[in-house]
Amino acid sequence: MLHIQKGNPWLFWPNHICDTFPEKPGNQKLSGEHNFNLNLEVKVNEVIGQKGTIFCILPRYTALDIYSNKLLFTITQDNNKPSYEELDVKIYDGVILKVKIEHIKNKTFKVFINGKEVFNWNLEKVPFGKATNPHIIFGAGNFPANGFNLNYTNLELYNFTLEDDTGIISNHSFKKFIFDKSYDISDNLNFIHKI
Amino acid sequence: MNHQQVKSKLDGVGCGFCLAKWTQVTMHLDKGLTHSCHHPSPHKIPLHEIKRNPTALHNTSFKKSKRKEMLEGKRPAECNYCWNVEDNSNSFSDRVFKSAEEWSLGEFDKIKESSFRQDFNPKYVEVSFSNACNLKCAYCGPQYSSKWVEEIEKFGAYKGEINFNDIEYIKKRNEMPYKKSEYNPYVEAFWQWWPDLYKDLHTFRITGGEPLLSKDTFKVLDYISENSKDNPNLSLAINSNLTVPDKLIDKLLPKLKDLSDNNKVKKLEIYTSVEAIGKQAEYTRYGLNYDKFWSNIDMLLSKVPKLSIVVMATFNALSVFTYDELIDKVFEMKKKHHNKVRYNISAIQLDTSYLRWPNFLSVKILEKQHLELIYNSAVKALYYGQKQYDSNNYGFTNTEIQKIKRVYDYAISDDKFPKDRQRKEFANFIKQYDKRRDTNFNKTFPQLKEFYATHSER
Repeated sequence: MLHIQKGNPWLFWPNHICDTFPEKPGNQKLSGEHNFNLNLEVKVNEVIGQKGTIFCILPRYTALDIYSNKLLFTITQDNNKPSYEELDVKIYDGVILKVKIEHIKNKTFKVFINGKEVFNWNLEKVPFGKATNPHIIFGAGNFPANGFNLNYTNLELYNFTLEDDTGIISNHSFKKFIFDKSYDISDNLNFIHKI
Repeated sequence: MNHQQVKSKLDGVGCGFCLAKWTQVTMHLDKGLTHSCHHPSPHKIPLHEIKRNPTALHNTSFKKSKRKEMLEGKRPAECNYCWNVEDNSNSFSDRVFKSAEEWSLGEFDKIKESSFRQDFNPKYVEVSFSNACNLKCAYCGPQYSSKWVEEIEKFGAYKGEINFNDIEYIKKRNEMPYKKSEYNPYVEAFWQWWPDLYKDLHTFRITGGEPLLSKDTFKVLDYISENSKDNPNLSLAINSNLTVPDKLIDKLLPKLKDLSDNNKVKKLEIYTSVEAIGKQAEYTRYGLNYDKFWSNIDMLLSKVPKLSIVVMATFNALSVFTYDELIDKVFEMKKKHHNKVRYNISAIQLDTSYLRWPNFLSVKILEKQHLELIYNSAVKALYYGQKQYDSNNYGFTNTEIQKIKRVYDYAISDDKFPKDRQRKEFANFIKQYDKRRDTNFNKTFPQLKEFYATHSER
């Protein structure tokens, strides 16, 4: 389990440390050019009265947020226009969410929580926001150094997987850590590290 | 200015124009050889030239003739490494990278307007005073180690397809170093030039041999200590195997502390070498005391907090089994000695290069399962990676990681490397090595016992 303390977000950007290794960094699958499935199981320790981000895909903000005791999902498409919807999910302090995101290029972007489809966005007219260096922040809406839209959240991450058309390319059970990096048990070096 | 702009600026003078021919020099004073960059072979410095002009250690008539070609829009043939890059790829050649250095590019106008006959004080100087060395690393040779000279004089060259480290060949190439006890006119010329040279220097690096065995190294340190007002921005680097007798480390320490604590230099670095751990490191770097090596590093970094150490690792066939543990050790030192006072961000860096020569010690002789160990080392360095390159963080840098990965890429690259022949040469070399040095390969490298036996029998 990875406990993300409020104010100490973690990052999925495996080629951020060395730009040529891993050779096929998993974050590139979020560039809008590929199909991908993202799965994570997370416990949100503080929900009531919080404004927080559970995770976000950047640089074009696509995120699962907490706002006014509700869950919101925001998607930013290639026209740079963010759209959001309130999700029909009951939340409370300590809620456990099994989140699945399914992106089919130029077709749909769906979000399932605890097995139920809660968000379905059509990408046929405007695709998912393209990016050359996409990445995911867990527990914040931005990099702390940027100083805005931080929305820190206190989380416990139990697992995380990212799949492309070939299968799982990043797999974390958060049992093994090396130097503030969660070990990718898929052996693809797609680690998650502390910012 | 970006590299394209630098190239255009250089090409404005001539397609072969390179500032390094003026601003940089490596002087092998022990052999009387000089060159401005490592691509052209070093050339002999005529004694009659330094007699009347000590700056001929750099400004030889030969080099001036090459500068003339450059100023006249020609490409000197000795620089063909760069011409190959420029003619056959879209990459920038080292002509551009070396000229782009801020201390080099700043001299552009002065050099462009100068006559090829004019002497020029370089900004970046590497000097080797002597080949005196207490080690004889397996991949080194008599040109750089007096211990190797002793061995070859006693036993002759290593017999093989090509005789390895044959002194007669080195003599024929006019590359035999002066003995430490002999009068060396090149060192004399250096000291005549030094007071004037020192004032203009950006970087001064002492190589060897083992520089701490040369009195000239300590003379340089004393000179800088007494005259630092003439050049307080100097970057000073000293190579050392850091396994010399304690009295030399004891002599070095207060001098480094003086230069560092009193801001007599801007940047202070020690370049050292190791490419394995424990007994395996001691086997390859014959004469090394591995534990002493690390205790010296630890002590120097503790007592001279502004000092940086660069471990130059020549990754060879005998590095693969313990390189990951070496990475652990370097990481431990990075963590322990991380501070915010030194010029370099890292306390210690692991600079990994792959060995090309002698071929029989190259990683390319190894089996596939051995090569996976190199990949695993690169993975370890990646997980030890520095999340952000600033003084708040430590860990392996982008470059350090890439260079380890590059060894793996080289090792698995499909080329015409004559594996079978070089494996036989390897076994042949090891057999002679063990006999001459009373070492035991099989005991030190049990992982290669079968490999050694197989290729010894052929």
